[in-house]
Amino acid sequence: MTRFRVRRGAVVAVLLVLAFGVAVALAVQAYQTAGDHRAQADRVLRDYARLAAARVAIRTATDMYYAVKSPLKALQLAHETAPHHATPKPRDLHFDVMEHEFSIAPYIRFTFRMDLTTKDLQTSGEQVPAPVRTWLIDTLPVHTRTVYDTSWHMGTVLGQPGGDRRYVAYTVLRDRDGVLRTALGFEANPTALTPLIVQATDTQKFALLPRPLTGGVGYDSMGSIIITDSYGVDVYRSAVQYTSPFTARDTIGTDMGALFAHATLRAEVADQLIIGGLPKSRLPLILSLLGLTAALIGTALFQLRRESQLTRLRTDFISGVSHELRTPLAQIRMFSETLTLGRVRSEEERRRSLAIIDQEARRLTHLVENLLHFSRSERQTAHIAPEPTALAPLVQEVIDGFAPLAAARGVTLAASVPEDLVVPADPGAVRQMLLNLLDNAVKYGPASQEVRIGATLENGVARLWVADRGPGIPRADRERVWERFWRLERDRDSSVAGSGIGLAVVRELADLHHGRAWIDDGGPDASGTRVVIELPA
Amino acid sequence: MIAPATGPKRILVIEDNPDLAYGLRNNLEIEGYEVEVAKDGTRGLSRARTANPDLVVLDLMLPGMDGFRVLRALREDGHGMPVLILTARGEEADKVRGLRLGADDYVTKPFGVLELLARIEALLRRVVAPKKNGGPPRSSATSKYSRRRGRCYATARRSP
Repeated sequence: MTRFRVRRGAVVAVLLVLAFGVAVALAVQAYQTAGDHRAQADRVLRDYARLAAARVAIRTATDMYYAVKSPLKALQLAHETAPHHATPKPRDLHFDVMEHEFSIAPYIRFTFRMDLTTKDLQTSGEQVPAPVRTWLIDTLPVHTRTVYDTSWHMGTVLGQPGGDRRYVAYTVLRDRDGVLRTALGFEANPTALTPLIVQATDTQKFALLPRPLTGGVGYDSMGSIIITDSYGVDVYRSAVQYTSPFTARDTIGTDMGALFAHATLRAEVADQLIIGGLPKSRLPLILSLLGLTAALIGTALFQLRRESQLTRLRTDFISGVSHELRTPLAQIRMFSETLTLGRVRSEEERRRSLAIIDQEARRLTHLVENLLHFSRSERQTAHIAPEPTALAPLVQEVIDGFAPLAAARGVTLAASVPEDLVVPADPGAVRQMLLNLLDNAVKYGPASQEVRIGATLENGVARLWVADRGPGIPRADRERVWERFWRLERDRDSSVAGSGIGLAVVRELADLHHGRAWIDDGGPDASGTRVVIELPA
Repeated sequence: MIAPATGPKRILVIEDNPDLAYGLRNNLEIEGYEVEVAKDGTRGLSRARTANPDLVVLDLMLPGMDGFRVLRALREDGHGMPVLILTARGEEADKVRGLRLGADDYVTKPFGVLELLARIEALLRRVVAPKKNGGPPRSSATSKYSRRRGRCYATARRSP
């Protein structure tokens, strides 16, 4: 039985530990998965940001191309018509602009033609300062060789010779030998770039990310754009700027003035861009799951321990009760048989046999009363009927009834109870409590001791106590002994039969009277145990 | 060491309950035994050693030294007189333990007076019997407990 219980306990403990292990493994796994998921989502969003930057770059480059293509065409046409005339002045430069396109015409400050071999530069329009001339003469041949896009037939340069910002667009014509020879172009105020980009990235027409990726997100709130030039100057900033880790940069093109497009996705939108939303951190949930599991395991182990303890106590209780019942029964049976069979040698023997039968029958009655009360209180149906009770006669009655049982161990009983002490109490309950305490005192105290019973009335409470001269109850155990089934370690396997419910019944009865019960040393002169019952008077 | 064959059989009752001891004494005396009562294990053991009774009636739950320890001490000393355990402990494990320690019989309380007397008489008869063969009138009780069958075999055997 015990071995089975121990094994079952071990099995449950192992299962619980396994459960905890699995919970920990799950938690770790979930944590890692969430981390991976998040990292992946981050990667995807950064890719989206790169895509957005690339889209801005392409869009801007395209619009710039269309903005400068028409004036360059007009210049080329004028040159082909009259190769030896000066290039048309800006105001004479006529070209068509589609209605929805940005027109750079108002920003053009001068036009020019330059022979890349002889470095002969002719300009018409606004006066060109010397540094700008020098810069043009130095830059164009190099730019033509290194950056000029021969398939697009155009190049643009953003420069700031001497702090003077200049935006130049040009195309180059080949000579008869097919060598890039004559550059035709114009200079425009770089401030033209800002309205150009505003129009290019107008959210009515342009979205940072293609529609299939964005779901229902409005274009205007998707992210922000910054365009910078190679000098670090902001050419354009979108009206609203967001900050988020999802940002990227792309080059608009060295042939398009070496501008850079920066795109930043709005953090709040990131959620909507990932299917199923951005993974939330599951750490709090996982930690609470772990905590919960640990708490459950703790509770289970505690319950298991408590259950095994209770089972042991109950087993002890049953064997204790059966032992307690067997002893008086053995005597009743033996003496009644002895009498029935006429196996008595004298009148004195006959009388004593009868007295023992009577005494043991009383003991049994008391025991059964205790068990009954105990079972009633287990089912919570115990109740008392308090009435004004004079303690002195009640105590005397109990002593008279108990004296023979005490005398069997040579124990004498001494009582000092004030005659006028009357308390509202259930006489049956008081009798039961006293009998339990006397029984304990006689059972656990030494033979031939004097057990004293006393009562006092102080401050409206009556105290009834029973003191023995036994070994006393260790302080550490003075609360536990009131628990049902609990017996002192030293008594469990001793000769003293007990069920471990006597004191539990006393305390319950005291509680029913709204009183208390406790154990003390019994005063300075006393050795042993004194149990005090306090009843409101 | 050997009780005189002519005198009354002497029985030692080791029992802490004075009323029960009183009843046992009366009943045994009526049967013609000479009865001595010991109130606890320690006294019981010393009386069993010095007085060497023909039979011991032994309670298990005794103050001081419990019945099992008394029995073991007796057997370890080489005392072979029959021992009848008379106890309120009715669990099989207790019976097995008592018999394995060398008890010759086990009676649980409550018990019938006549049955108890008959068992005592039977135990005493068994001890006397080997005397005819000239061997010492001592019995050493051993028992084998078969865990597999869950049964208990008690055998009384002449000591060498």
